[in-house]
Amino acid sequence: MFHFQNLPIQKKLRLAIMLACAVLVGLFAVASLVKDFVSAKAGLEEKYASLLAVLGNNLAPAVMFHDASAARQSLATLNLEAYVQYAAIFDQNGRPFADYVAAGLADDSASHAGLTPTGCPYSRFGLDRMTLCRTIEFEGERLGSMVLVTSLRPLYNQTLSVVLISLIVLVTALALAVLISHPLASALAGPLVRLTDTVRRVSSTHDYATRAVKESEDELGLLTDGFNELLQQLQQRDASLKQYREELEQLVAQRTAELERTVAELQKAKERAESASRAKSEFLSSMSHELRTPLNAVLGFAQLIELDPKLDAEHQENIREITRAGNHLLALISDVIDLAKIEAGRLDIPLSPVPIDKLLDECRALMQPLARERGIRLDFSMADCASLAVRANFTRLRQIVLNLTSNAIKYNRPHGRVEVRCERPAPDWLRISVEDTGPGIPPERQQEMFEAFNRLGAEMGPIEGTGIGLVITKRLTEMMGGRIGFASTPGVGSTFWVEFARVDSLPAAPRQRPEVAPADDEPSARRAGTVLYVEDNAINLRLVEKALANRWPNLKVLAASSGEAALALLEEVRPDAILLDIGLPGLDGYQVLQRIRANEALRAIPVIALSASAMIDDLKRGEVAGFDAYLTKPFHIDRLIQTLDEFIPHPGADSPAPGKLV
Amino acid sequence: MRAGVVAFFIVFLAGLPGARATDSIEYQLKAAFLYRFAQFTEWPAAALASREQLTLCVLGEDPFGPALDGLAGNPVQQRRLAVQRLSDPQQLGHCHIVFLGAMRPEVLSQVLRRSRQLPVLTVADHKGFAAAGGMIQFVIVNNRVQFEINSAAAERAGLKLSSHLLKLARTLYTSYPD
Repeated sequence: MFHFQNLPIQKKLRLAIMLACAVLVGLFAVASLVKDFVSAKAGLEEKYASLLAVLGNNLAPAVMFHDASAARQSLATLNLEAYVQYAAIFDQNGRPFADYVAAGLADDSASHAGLTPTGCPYSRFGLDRMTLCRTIEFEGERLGSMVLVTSLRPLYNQTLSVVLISLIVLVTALALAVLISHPLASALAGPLVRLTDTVRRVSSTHDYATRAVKESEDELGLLTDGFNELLQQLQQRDASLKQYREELEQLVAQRTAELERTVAELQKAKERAESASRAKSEFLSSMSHELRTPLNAVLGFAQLIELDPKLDAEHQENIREITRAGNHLLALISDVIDLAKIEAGRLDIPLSPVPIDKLLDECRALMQPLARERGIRLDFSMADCASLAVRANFTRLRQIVLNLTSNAIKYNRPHGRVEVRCERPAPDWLRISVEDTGPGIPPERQQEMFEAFNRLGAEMGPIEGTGIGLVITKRLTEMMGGRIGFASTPGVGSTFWVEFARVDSLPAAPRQRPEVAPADDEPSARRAGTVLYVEDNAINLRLVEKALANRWPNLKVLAASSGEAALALLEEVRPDAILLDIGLPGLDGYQVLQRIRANEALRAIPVIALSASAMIDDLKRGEVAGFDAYLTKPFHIDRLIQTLDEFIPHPGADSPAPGKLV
Repeated sequence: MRAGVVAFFIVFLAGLPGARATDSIEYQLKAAFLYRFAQFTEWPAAALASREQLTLCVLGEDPFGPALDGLAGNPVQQRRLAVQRLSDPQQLGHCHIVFLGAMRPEVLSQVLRRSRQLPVLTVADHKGFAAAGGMIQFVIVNNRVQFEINSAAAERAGLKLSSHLLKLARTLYTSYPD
């Protein structure tokens, strides 16, 4: 596609000149054509009108004397007029009198040509012929009329010749325009073209020292001056830009160096922080271990003493007090460690479907003793959630429910009531709510409910607590994708609730070993066999030995103080069960277990882990490693007995039943 | 034959001044021709001087009837046409055109003789009139009214007949018997 805008200016100028020429000549040609046509037409009309007048004068006598043949003879002189086609004479009444038809049109007749005297005189122009009508008069008397038809060919011939002449003039004019426009356009556009070349050279080479040559004092001269000035400014700016760039590069290099230093420092700081975090985490872990180990001994021996039938009532009460305080201290340590781990974001909670009725059954069993002790009626209603499950972690959800329930029992009025319900607020959600009949929470303090170490006026009260239970509960709930909330009316009671997403499918979860099951039947007292206890802590070793001897006098307890010693011992004896401490010097519990499982002869022996590491990570790791059971210290003597009972073979019917009653 | 001539005349006479269809068609046309002859004839100035009218006379039997009277008053040579019926050839002196109707031959030759000295245009129906020294003679050719002219007779009388008129003459005589 041809675009006038994109043409070089020289061509534009030439085109403009030629266009102007063409338009001028064309307009002139059209004007002269029109003028010629009009005057030729008028001339033609005048010529034939005078011919008619002459003819009319000559014909008048023939008409007067009704001599049609004489009239025809007069008309016949028209054959000298090459373009006359028809002529006809009509009498006064419009009747045809005589006519003439040109030789070429012999078989036509004037009457057929449609000639009429009506409206005479007239001059009518058709596309190819002219019809003239004039009256025939003699001395003022009207005798009739005469009609003449002529071809318009002379008119067209003349017009055609004018058109031809115009065309010749036009072509000549255009040729002249081409000749003239070339040097003219060059003269006009030349400086502009040279300026453009300069601009193009500057923009491609970036040589701002170039200057355009000024050729005239007109607008182009001004443009050249402006361009040169622009170039000078560009040159200056280029120079200062170069300078800036160098300075900037220097600055960037400097800053980069600084940044690299900073990054290195930050990296170091990060490494330090990470190692500090690791140290803190390790400290927490070992602190937990270190605190539990002595506590384990304290509680264990208190339990042993409590079992001594020789104690009088006062001593028994004292010992119970020690046990209670010890348990409280244990709970306290657990809470603090949990919170620390949550705050550090290091608590990993795997989620799986948790069956509600099983969970609440367990909670009821665990809370019933506390409720009985406090004189509180504890009700569970879970009809709405029968055989439903939520997506959560069993242990942590149990911790949440236990926490809420124990709070409800502790902060209740005497002979009050606690109701644990399961409801379905929405099809996809299950809600566990715990309602008490306590004093309630004043509205102005409800905001502070989930803040750490806030006991809401219970600080000075008789009820013990760390004030972080609810905080842990809230965090755990949120980490499992649940919601927590409460409603309270002072003087009537409070209702705390948690909600979790419901899950449909409840896979056949491996039966979880009840860590504390209500002892329906007493473990058999008459157990005989061998148990290997691997433990580096002498106090713990003594405690377990005492507790087992106390329960099962016929059970033989072998002791090893390290993994290596235990493995050496196992070369010679085959115990019925092994109690294995995790935190051993040298080979740790996991490694010892690995060796035992790797040995064909020892593989079948049940191994029960005993550890002060109560953290959830450790419990998981223990399960994965393949322990048959995992007990945390300080262990409840009852629980140890219960667990061992499952793994030590019953004395057969053939075995005598020695031993004494507990 | 006669009916065809009549039909032709009816067609042509309708437009002529003073003509009426009820008159004799042939003579109506001839009356009109008399008027036209007056238009194409030039009289000597003396013949027209001191005359306010151009007089058309009829001598002998008048075949025109009222058709001729209809012409009276028509303009000709800047004058009005007047119509007179004569009984005596001596009265020819004040006529410009005379139509000689049926008359005895000796009267006719007397009138012709007399008119030689007078600027009077003589017109008649008589056969051989133009050849015998009359100026214009009506003839019927192909059912049409035409005329013969003796230009020599007219010239002798000082009359000048228009070339248009001469051109239309059926026969043009240029001599006359003494």
